[in-house]
Parts: sequence; structure tokens; C-alpha cells
Amino acid sequence: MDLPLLGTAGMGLVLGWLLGNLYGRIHNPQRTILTVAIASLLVLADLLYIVGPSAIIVLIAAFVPSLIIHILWRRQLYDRYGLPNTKHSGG
Amino acid sequence: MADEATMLQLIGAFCFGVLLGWYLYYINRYRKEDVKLNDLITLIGALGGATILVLFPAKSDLFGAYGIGLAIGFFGYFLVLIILVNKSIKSTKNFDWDWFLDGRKKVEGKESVPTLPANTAMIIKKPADE
Repeated sequence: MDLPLLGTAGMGLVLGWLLGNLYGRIHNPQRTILTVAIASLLVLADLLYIVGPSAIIVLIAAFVPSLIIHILWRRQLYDRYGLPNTKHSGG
Repeated sequence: MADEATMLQLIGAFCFGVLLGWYLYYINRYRKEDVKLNDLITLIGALGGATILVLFPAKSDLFGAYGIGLAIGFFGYFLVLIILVNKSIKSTKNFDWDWFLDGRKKVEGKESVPTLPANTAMIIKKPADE
């Protein structure tokens, strides 16, 4: 795999983890979901322009597992320790 | 890109990515409320903003090195947090894994309470409070 595609995979991992961090912390669903949707589309369009269509597959392949792992981890923490009391994201 | 990137350039792009990835996690960790426009600007800027494209042209190895560095910096911050919390669990027991939810801290080893007040990013003590 060449370097630009590896870089795109890294960005997908970061993006997935960032969005997974929203799990259980959305206080204004309409606005947040809209903002996140716009951000995701912009990032996709941006990377499409930068590295081409092949990168989108790599991006999604990195993004989805990262998102799922983070959501599962946060869900496990919620089940074990209860819901958070503040809007602070902790880690 | 017409010219091949030198090893020094690749290392530079990688380190720049590490720095921004680290900072991206930091910003996200201390975000006060829901996702805002500022967060988006930071995210888009870090992932492929105009500045990044000027520094690291599209489809170049430099861009790839930057992306890898970004992920390593971002998850490196997370790894450091895991190590610190794990160390706390084994020694002082002030923090447990629930710290990752909302910054909870154990008080005298019994209760688990948020260390930060609502809507506050960092603990800011007034002189009168001390």
C-alpha cells in the first residue's frame, strides 16, 4: 500500500474515533447530527479531491471499525459506571 | 508531485502530523459542549485544509506521511491517557476507567464524582476559592 493511502487510513481512524466520542453525549440531536453530517460530507469531499476515489474505500474501511470500536467501548463504560453527569468528554 | 520527497521532508511531514493529531485530541477532550462550527473548522483544517494542501500536495508521499503522523499523534494522546489512568488504578486509585466518560474522580476512594463542573472545560480556581 502506498503512503498517501496509508495516510488516508490514518485520517479515517481519527475521524471515526472523533465521531464515536459523540455517543451518549448529544444534547441537541438535531443540530449535532446536522453538523456532524455536514462535517462528514466535507471531509469526504476534501479527501476525494486530495487522494482520489480509491482513497474513499480505504477511508471508510478505517473509519467504520474505529467508530464501532469507540462506540462499543463507551457503551461498555456506560453499562459499567452509569451515564455521565456533565458535558465534559473526559478522555 | 514531480520531485520525490526526501527522507527529511517525510520525517518533517510525519512530525507535523503527530503534533496536529495530538492537538486534535486535546481540543476534542476539552470541548465544552456539543459539536460546533469551530470544531468542524479545526477538523477539516487538520484533515485537509488549504494550509495542509499547500504544505503537502495532494496524492504525494508527504501527504501520506502527514496522515500517518496525524493518527499516531491522536492515538498517542489516547494511549498516554490509558497509561496514566491505569497507573492511577494500580496506585492511588483516584481515577478509574470511568474517567474517560466525564472526568470522574474518586474521593477518598469511595465516591465517583465528575471532576469538572458542567459546561466547564478545565478546572479554573478563583483566588478566593483557594
